[in-house]
Amino acid sequence: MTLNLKNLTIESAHAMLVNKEITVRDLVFAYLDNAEKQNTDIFAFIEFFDKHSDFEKRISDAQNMIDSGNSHLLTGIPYGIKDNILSQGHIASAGSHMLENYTASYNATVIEKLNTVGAICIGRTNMDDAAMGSSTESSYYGPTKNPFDTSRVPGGSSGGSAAAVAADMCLFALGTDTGGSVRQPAAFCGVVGMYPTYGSVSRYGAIAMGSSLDQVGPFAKNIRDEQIVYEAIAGYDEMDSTSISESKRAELRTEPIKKVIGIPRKLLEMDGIAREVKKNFEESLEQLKKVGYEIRDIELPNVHLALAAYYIIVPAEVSSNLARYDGIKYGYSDREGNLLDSYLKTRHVGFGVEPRRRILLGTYVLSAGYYDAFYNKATKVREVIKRDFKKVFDSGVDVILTPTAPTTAFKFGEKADPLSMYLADIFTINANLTHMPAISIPSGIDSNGLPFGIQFIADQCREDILFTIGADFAK
Amino acid sequence: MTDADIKNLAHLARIEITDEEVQKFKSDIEPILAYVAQINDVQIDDVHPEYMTKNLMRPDIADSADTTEHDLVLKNAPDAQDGFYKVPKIL
Repeated sequence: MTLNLKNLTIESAHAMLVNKEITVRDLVFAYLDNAEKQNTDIFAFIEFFDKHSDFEKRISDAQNMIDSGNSHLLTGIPYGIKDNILSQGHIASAGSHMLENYTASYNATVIEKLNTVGAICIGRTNMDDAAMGSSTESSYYGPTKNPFDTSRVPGGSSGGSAAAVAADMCLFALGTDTGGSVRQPAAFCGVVGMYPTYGSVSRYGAIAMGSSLDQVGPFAKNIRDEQIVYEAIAGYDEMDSTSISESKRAELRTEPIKKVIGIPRKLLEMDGIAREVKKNFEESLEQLKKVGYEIRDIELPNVHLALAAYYIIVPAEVSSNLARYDGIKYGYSDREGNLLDSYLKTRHVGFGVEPRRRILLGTYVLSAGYYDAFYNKATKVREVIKRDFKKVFDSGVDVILTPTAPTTAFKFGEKADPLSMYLADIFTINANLTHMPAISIPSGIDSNGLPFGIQFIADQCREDILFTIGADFAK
Repeated sequence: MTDADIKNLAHLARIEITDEEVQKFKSDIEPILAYVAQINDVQIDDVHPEYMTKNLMRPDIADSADTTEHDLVLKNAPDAQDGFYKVPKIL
């Protein structure tokens, strides 16, 4: 039978599986066939897993779960994982030369959870080199293209995952988000993507970039599917030292929704925000008013400092996280000369340009003499911004609304200098800095036929509010 | 920022750098530093970051006797012998 992948969702595919209209095999191979066909053009996947020795067994195990009435909504559902999430026995290269041949020796907690419910991972998706970028152009394996317009980027760094869901190559995908790396590509590719509350989804087995900001987040076609995946991967994990306990989470979820949306007007007046994006934003506000939400202007007095603080904190964390790549334990290794020569050559060849740039910057902002002026100050700015956000939520606002990105998908090569690429993160970084959850939802199409995304940010642990308002908005 | 500064940072980070790269990184990093330096001018009270999440430690107990994981770990090593990493001579 031929499946209409365009209209399929996790829920509808699950219903077909349970009603025996299709088998897990039918479903998985319908997606794999389409994915392999599309991949020559889009290059969303670096590798498919269907030739792996346990692939058939996973399919039959999932089918058994369905047949025995023991299924979860995700049983038998095909998905993709970003190339920086570990799945035992599979390569996880983080889009880099450094880890080109690195085989994961254990499962990330999110993969463990998805394996338990019988979801089927069909491959690993493309990303910016070491997750540093906003366009997927810097992948060691070549760029992913935007399914809406192949002359444009899919966003990044999780561009492969976003494009894979947008082009019906899988039903959902996982990415990682340090400053917008799930939400911005979701916006550029017209799908839903989120940054969960820091600590709500385990980081165990996700290759570290900025440890105080990183979270794994799902991509899906609609809010309901997004919620299904989020709930399947979230939860306390003793393997993640900054995981949130279930009791703490419950405690933070008691306040009822008030149907009030806060607009940070000043942030929207910053330079570089496309006119069409602003217009779409205002239209989205009207839409929300229609479904019964109160719109309120809010002040975030220090938010203009967020990008500067972010681009101090991230390089600092990058420089320490990437110190582990020494050519001794795993990854690219050049053993010419003495030990020092070996380090120097390994790290020169193994890292791409942006990782090296960030390591140097991070080394600078952490070095004696500059530490107080840069890194220490940035952590203070971060705290002040967090307090500004808290104050807004404590004043009776459910969510803060912004566009997800200042523009729609840009062309390849358009943002050649690093600073202009960094500015594309202006709306997304706040959630990471404040550890608050945020979701990007498609909000229309621009004059070039490219998707807009709108971002809702909620207070810590209030993903429930994001899903409620998101569903009302998408109506 | 001088050429020597960039070379020193690269040395501290244990990354080889060519003369051409020194120029490129210098011209990349200068505008970034100029941009992020705006936080130097803001007056901020002496706030101390409060995190909802705290570093939690679990007992250091080896609970896995799974040799698959051990084998996979060593398979990734650039050089290994008799179940151990082999490292360059340091003395």
